[in-house]
Amino acid sequence: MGEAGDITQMLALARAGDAAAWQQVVAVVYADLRRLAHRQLNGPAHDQTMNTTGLVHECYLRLAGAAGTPNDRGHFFALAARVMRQVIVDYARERLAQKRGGGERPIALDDADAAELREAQRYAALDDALATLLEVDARRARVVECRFFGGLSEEETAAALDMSLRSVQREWQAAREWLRGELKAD
Amino acid sequence: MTEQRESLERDFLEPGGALRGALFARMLQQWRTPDAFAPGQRIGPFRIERELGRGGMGVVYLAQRVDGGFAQQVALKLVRGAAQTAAVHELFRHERSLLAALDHPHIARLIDGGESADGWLWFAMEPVAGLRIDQHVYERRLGMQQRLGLFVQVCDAVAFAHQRLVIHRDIKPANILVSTDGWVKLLDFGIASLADASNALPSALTPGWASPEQRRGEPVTTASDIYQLGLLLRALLCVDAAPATPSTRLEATRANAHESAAAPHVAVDAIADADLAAIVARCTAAEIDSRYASVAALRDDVCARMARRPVAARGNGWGYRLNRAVARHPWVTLACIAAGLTLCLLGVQLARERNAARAAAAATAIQAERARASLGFLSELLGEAQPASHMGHVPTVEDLLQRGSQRIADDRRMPAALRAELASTLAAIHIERGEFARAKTLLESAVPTLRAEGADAAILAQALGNLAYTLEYTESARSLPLLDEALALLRNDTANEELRLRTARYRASIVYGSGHREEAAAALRKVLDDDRRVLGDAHAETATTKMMYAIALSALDRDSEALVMIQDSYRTLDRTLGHEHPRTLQAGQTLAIHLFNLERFDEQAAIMQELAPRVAKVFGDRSPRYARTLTWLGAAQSHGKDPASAVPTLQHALEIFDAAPVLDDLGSPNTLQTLGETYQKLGQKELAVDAYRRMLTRAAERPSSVPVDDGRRPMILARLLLDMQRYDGVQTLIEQARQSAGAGEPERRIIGTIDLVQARLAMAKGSRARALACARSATAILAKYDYARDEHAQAQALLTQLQPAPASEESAAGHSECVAAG
Repeated sequence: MGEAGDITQMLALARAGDAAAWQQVVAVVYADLRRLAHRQLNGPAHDQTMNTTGLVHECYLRLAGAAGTPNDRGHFFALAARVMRQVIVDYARERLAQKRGGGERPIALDDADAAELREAQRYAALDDALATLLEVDARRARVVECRFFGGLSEEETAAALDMSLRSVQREWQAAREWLRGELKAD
Repeated sequence: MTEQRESLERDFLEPGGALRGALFARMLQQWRTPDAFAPGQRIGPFRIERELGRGGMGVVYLAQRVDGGFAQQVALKLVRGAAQTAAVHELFRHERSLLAALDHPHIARLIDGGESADGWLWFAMEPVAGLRIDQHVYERRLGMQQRLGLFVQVCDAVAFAHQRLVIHRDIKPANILVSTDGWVKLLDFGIASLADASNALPSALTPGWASPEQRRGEPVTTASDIYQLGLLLRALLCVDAAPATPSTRLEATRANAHESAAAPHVAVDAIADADLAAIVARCTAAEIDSRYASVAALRDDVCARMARRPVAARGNGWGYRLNRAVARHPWVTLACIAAGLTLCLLGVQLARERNAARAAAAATAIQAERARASLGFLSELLGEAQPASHMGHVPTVEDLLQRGSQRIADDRRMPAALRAELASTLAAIHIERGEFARAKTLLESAVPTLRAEGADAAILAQALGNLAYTLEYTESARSLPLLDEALALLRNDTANEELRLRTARYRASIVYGSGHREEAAAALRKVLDDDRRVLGDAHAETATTKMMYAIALSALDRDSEALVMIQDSYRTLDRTLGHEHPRTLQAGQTLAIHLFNLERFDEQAAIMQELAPRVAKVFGDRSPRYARTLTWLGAAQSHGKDPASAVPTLQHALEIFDAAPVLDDLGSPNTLQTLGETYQKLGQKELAVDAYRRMLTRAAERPSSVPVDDGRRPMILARLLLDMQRYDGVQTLIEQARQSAGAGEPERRIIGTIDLVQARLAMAKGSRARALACARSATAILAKYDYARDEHAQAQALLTQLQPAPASEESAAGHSECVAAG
């Protein structure tokens, strides 16, 4: 089972801060999500939300399973949430870059496009704010990653970050307050 | 604009918000389902030959290996997706090796997998030919045992995979094919997780098939597979439950052969068999902890049901351990039902019409002529009932009919054909009155005349049918040719469809009675379809045919379907003929018997309670019919919550039988057997012994037309006596049983039963050698019978006791020693 061992190593390295390993993890998750993406088109439209959360969850579990260390599952989720943040934010920035074009007049956007762009802007701003928060209060920033980008529940977040449920709730509240303040300033 | 922004921000930082946003959705949407590939195109080492189908997850092609030096045909599944980095490759390969290692006869093997240059994932699988499992069951009209057998194959496959930590995740009929020789193959095993395509979240395609945890987006475990197996079992059992409705889910499913259809939303109640309903319920419990812990446990329960052993899912209710084989009493045969029905006797019906004009209007011109002639004849007869002509002596209908027969014989002026026709009409009236012998006499001479004189086809057919009807059980060999002749005459006669249908139905009931159940069921099915077409679904005759068909089905173990039909018949007959029509009552009793066989005793008791007073009213409260009804009611009560309540019911039945022994046929021995069983349940062994003894006495006194006692009855008493350690007279019972069993096949179950009792007796009396010989024989014989498990276990235990080390030359040869010794 050499393959599994490599993945475990990769994940371990990534958690430890190895940048190259981190990039690999991101790529793996990204590719996985792409595979999961078929469902979005074929799934019932009204169920989209649940499907998304569900399939992202599955993605995490598959990778956690491949990593082969069940005890680490909680920790792994924290890692996965970080990955999600990067994946989404990367995509957001890419979209913004596309739309800005090369100094051309902005193309007339339909409502859906406009909504997406606004979201993209917000994610980009959020990412910057989180980067700041990470310096000041790492734990609080991670909670945001888990809850907002990772779609983890309060319990799952608590497990992922080795916190109590109460702490998670407090941190999340505090983070939101702070972030709202930060983002309004834009 | 600012307002908008603010509101957006209010909603913005919600848990999971990023995943719910439009941006993320758009990101995911960028990857589409694969477009079609063309034949001839190369994917990996394969070349596409043609498209086999499209599912939600991707397209499947038939492909041929062109690279690798050997020929190989595969089913190639293509899924969009791209592995980007080495890490992803590894992940992919890791899982793929897991799945390729799933080598099981019931799993379609994953042969190879890979990625194409332009980002397609492909999976080469063992090509499987066959029908979807639900189609297979439907087309072949499989019986329950066969359906369960298929299901067990599926369980084997899933259990194997679970042991290797692979979850299927998408078990549904579309993913299970069955070859023509009944071999199951599961498709797409684990492909779902490997490709992470649509199937991994079944709710995306087939909402009805997803387990509750899947629908909630929670991780999938082996329990989800078990849930889906439960749905599958339910689907397999309920196929064809409503055979004539073209709009069943199954038709829709067949129309979209490649699409996954919604799971059948049939309430669990629709599964007639309580055991199987319990199994399904335990698979599909909302709480994971309430489900089977493993597929192996599920499989074991299904096998238990197949062997007619108690099923774990049912729990350990005290009354449950019944010998199912004994429970299937052959008390009602189709012939008995047919006996309650008369053929559609046009002549009789019209004869009943007082108003000739109405009769004429109802029939075609030709028939009206005929009717008038018959009526005229009869009214002439009945005219003799006028006081003026009888001079003080009132002739009974009896007398008149006699005179009528006389007239026919004497009146030379009447053309032979007309005479025969009228004789036939009289015979029909006799039949209505239950005077079969007289009818037979009339018809024996009328039929040849009608043939010779080239009479109207319908008239001759009717006469033939009536004649067949009057034949004794013993002359049944004659019935079929007569009916065949009648059916040949009516073959293209659209004016007499009803007569043809009733004749065909009667013929089927005879076929059923002679043991050819499959043929009878098929014939009844045809009659039913025609009845529906000609008379409509709400007609009493259609309902009657339906009931007869259902009885045939249940004899073929297709109980779920049968139950639905019987319930339906009963309702229709109740509605069209009324509560107290004999046919309605018969349907009610059939329903009750069916529920009894399915061990739904409380429901059976409820119906019997309803029926009993009506039977008493219609047939008389001292009639054997009523006594038999009471016996059934007693049987139901005996298996229900309050067995003691059965005793007065059964004693009442006995009272009735005692008062009229001549008419009694099978009745009282059965009542006494049920009474004995009830006493046994209540622990009143002495009373049980007494009841069984009386049962044997009566069975000996009363000759029955249907052989029921092949030795079982004496053994019922013998077993109880042995349990009570009373050995006097047991040997006599054994001799009695051997005599009843007669010199048939030596390996019949009853022989095994008798040998076992002999073994126990010999053991108790200290003759170990004889006990050993008999135990050996019993063990060998009983091993062959699925539903004799408990007895077999007993025999085996005894054998082990006598001979702890089993010798290798054991055989059933012990039987002759068993009988011969002492």
